[in-house]
Amino acid sequence: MALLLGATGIAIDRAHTVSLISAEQDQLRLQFFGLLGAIEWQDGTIDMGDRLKDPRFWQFRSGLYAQIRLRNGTPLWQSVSSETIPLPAPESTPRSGQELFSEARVDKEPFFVFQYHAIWETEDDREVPLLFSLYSSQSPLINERRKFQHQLSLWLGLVLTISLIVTALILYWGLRPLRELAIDLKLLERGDSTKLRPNYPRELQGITHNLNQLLDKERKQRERYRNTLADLAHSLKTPLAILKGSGAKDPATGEQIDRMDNIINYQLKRAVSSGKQNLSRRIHLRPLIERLCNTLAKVHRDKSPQFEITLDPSLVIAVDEQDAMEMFGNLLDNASKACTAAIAIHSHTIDGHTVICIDDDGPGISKEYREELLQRGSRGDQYGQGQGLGLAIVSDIIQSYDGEISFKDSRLGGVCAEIKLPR
Amino acid sequence: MRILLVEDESLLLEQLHRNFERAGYACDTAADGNEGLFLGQENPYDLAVVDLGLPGIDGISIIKQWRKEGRKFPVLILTARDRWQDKVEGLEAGADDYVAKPFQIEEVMARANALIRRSAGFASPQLQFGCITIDTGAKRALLNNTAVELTAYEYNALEYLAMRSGQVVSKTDLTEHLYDQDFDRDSNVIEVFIARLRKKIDPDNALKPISTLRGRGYRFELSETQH
Repeated sequence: MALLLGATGIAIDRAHTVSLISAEQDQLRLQFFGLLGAIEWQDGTIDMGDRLKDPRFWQFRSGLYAQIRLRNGTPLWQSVSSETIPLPAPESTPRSGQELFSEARVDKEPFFVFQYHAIWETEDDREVPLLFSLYSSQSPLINERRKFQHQLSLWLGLVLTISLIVTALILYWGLRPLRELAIDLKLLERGDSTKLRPNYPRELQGITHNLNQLLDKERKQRERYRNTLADLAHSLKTPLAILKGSGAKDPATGEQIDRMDNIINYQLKRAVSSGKQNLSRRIHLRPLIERLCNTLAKVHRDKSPQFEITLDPSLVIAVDEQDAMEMFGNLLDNASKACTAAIAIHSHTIDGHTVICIDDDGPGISKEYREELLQRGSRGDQYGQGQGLGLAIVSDIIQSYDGEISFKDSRLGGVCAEIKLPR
Repeated sequence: MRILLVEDESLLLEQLHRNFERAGYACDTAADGNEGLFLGQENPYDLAVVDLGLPGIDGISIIKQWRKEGRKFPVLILTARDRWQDKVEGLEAGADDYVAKPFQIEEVMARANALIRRSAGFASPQLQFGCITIDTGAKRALLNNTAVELTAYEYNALEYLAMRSGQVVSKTDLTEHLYDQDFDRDSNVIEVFIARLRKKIDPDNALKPISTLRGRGYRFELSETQH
């Protein structure tokens, strides 16, 4: 905008200068006509008498000078105002009957010069070529131009300031919905909301509506996908249950049924896991852990494990709810089976990661065996339930969120399952 | 013990029915959600085994409805949807335990047993009443550590009465929990059972663990010290 206004200023200044010069030229032309009308030719000399009306011709160094020469340059007359000033001989002269407007320096000052080449007919019918030269100082024009430039700069500056303020305000108000959209998208990205707000201006509603539809569609598709896989699991596992109950007395058949079940469990749970997504929803961990602990307290009622949950209620993790349920469900179930009486769930942050620890007071697992625990089909339990898939699935889910799982010695005496997830 | 089995897959339902019956349970069966819900509303079961994926009304809705109506019998859910989300929802709806498909029938029966025992307030599968021991896991009774020969119905009657030790159990109540819905409730078979049971667990008629309260029913009572 500043460049545009600068260019505008230059253009206006140029136009104004051209107009001033043109007006000056017209003025000098009029002066010339006045001069022409005032001449009286007397025996080869020129007499002006007091016929020149413009007082500047009579004022010494007034800035308006006139001179009449013969064609060979011999001066015939010069105004009183220029009597002590050496008027320069013109560098070029116009042809007969033509005028020439140019610039020259008179006494080191810039002047406009108007020349006219006239043929004067004397009373004895002789034709005398006369060169009229009028000199007008450029100082008034320069002053005028400076004043104009000053005014112009002032006004253009004002216009620029107002324009910038107006533009800033327009941008501020105009871009506000975009800023809100950016905040909304950030919330979506962090998983703090599930869709964009509906109250956007009409111009943005097309985008926000489509984006909401896209998110909704994606969510429903994911849900449909999960349900379809769950139905698939259901339709595969019920026949397996029948087979297991009827013909599976033969150990080989039973083993093959267990193998098929393991494959279904492992692959379907892997397929169902959402993994890390740009627009994943964040979940509050504590309520989820509390739900699982309440459930497990019911399942392991005979043992009645005591769950000590010391998680900040505001702790959130960027993991899909079902994946979190699967991860912590398996780990807490393992802890419930392994523990003697107590399980502790706590968290801390380290290097931009949230670390969640599940401690139990069970017999523990030897260090050499801990790595193997996360392998598919490996079983670390001595308590007899499950198929040895839980931890492999947990490990896969955690890895899909760029997280890590490890097993350490617990302060309670058993195992501490430590899950490290990016914040 | 009378249980309800709700499973839409007929072969699996038949297997469960056969195995539970063989173990001495009185079983009612339902092949869809509506029938299962109705039976649970109408009869006083000791346990219900409910599949979650059912036609009509799904398993979770049935359990919620029973709990809403005050049905307190324990519920074991069978689920092929092996997700924790489903297990948690099932248990939060009011179920007490779950078994994931495919399962060993023995596992289902062990869980069922444990639930029945827990619901009666016993932590251990061995119920000790003086010189009489009732092993709910093995479904047998011991008198002075010697196994007593009992038919399935006799054992069930003893277990039911023992689990309500000190309480009066009416004949109707006992009938309802020992037999399925097709049983003729006017017969005097209960009296015959009780008489035979008394002879078997108290051959000398010294302990008198089962007393008859005229017009009200039976009461099992035996202190730890009675030998």
